[in-house]
Amino acid sequence: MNNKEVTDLFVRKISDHDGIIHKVCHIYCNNAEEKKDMMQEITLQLWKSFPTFKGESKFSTWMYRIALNTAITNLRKSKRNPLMEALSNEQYELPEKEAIPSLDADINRLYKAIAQLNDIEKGIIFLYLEKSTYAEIGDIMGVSEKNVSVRIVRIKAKLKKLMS
Amino acid sequence: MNGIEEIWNQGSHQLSHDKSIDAAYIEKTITERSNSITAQLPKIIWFGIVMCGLAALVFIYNVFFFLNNPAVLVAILILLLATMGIIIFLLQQVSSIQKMGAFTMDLHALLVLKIKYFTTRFQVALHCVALSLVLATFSLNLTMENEDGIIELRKVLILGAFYLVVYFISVYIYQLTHRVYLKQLKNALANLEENSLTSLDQEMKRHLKIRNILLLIALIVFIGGLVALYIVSVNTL
Repeated sequence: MNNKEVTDLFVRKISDHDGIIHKVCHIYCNNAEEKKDMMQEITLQLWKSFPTFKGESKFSTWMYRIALNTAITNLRKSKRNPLMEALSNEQYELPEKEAIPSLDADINRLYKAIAQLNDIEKGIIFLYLEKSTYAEIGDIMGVSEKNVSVRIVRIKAKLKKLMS
Repeated sequence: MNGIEEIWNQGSHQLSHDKSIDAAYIEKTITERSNSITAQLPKIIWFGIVMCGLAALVFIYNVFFFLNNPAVLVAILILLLATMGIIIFLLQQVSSIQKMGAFTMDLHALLVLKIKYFTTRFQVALHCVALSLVLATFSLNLTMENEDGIIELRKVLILGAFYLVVYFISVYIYQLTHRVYLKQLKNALANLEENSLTSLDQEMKRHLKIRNILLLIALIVFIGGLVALYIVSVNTL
């Protein structure tokens, strides 16, 4: 495949799965400016990592991995105080997530609740809600399937509490 | 209220209406960002490379002035070699950081790799950058103090103290700058491992529970056995 063909294939694949990028940006960013930066960063990382995609996993799984890793390890751009990240969410006030007027109230409430999870919990619940298997979630996050299942139960309970 | 899965699906459906990632967007982003990839690398390392480059040039320049002064010449050549060594090491670090930009491994492995790098080799690199500042200053000092191939360093102690202060202040500032990033990585790893530890804890609790139940059964059997033995022995007598 020549460069032009590779580029075309990449553009086609990313366009087909662009919902993943939108959703990752939506759960990790609090406003439009952050989202725009994150979208660019993820797109660039996907492009840089594209030669490593060998087709051993689904393209979407590979894309989830790159997008989440980029979002989680690029905390430098976050405006939150990094020294407070390890604290529980109840211990400090999070920046208010901008609601999207076009979305239903329930959906905005869910996104706001997810915004109050830590970055790892966001990644796990995001993959779960996107219907990834426990094995895929474990593979992307680097934890065992068993840990994933325990964690999901806990996160779901936390979300229900936050939304009620 | 619907289940979170159902709400999420509705949200995904509604968000899919504002699709904006098309070929033009991707090409524009890649072109813009690829051009500034080098700018995203730790600027401190590039600063060190530039400083070492400057020091190396000035040292080479000085070689010609001290050709008739073997002692200083040897010192300059040693410093030049050290400077070149630092440049090579710092360039290797640039390459390592670029390689770590590949996000294809799992998150846990990626975080561990980054933390390991930023607490080991990168710390050495920070010392090298601080040293590059000292080398650049010293090389310029050497040029200024040169009088027809002879150099007389006045107030060597004060000069040495000055270089030491420059060195330690530089190291401290660089470390302070990167401590926040390191803290973020460590927090992300701690959050990721939290469950493993909790799970391990639960596993241990489960093991303890099973052990206690087995102990209780053993105790009941033992006491029951003793009672049975006592009854048998009384009946026998």
